[in-house]
Amino acid sequence: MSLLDKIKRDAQRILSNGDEYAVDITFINAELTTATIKGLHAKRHLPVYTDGNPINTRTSYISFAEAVLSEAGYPVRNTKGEVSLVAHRVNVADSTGESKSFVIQETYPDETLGIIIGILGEYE
Amino acid sequence: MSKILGVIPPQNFEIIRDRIAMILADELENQVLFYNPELDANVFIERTDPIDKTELPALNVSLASGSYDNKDVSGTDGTYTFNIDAYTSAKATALANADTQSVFNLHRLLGVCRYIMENPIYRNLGYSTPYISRVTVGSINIAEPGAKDGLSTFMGRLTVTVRVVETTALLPAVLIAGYETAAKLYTTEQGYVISKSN
Repeated sequence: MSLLDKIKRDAQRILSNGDEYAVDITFINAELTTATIKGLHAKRHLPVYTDGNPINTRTSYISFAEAVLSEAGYPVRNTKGEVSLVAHRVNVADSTGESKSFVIQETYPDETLGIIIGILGEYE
Repeated sequence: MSKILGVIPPQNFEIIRDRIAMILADELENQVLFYNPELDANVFIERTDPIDKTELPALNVSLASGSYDNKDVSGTDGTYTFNIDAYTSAKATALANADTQSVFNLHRLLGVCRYIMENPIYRNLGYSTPYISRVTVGSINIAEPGAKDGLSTFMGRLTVTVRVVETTALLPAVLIAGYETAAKLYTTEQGYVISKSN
């Protein structure tokens, strides 16, 4: 096994290990295909600087291994082979333990390690 | 030792700043109650602390600048620009993206503010004439949104220009003690002539 393969394996293990930092993340697409996998989730304060007052808002993101989501039967890539998860719904619990709903606003796929970071917007 | 005796009253730009905020709060409350529940905005005056996401939608009225002309001994015409800053946010729904909805909310809020400030009933901001000579909405601008914001916060600015007379108390004319010269001022072909003779 090459060093790169070992790094990919370790990265996927860290992102998916429920005994460490990973939490349950449920994906739902427009066709209502659903998959729940382990991944990392963060939700924290974010200052937004405008031409007027700063606004104290918040940002949320998830990171997960693409292979884990694919293996769960969830369509990660479109017919052109590109990662296509924007506007997909995500349910994940925050520090209160209550599950919150989000939509994926942006995706940053790392196609070297097979990791995808999703920037989340809040969903009513 | 101070020479100005008595209280210096608030300047008109201070009164107008507060008046604009009160008018917006009054009219928005009425709109929320009867017509547009989504316009339920908190109205602030000269707020500089960061605004929390839980306080949105929000308006902040502030004095931006002022200039003076037509000056005479008792006053001057002041032209003041006030900023009405609007802030909105939104969550995504099955029907709309959060960013689009937040911008729509912002446009609606700024549009209502413009309508209120340009309405003929407030052409003098509710004061009797000629206290205020002109109220005009000068511009509308939308700021760039922040990145990676989970609540799609947007900000826009309406500038309102108000022209008003600022006055100052005249000094009483008191003759210097011992000054007893009697003279008359005559208009002649050579100009004014001061003379004691008839």
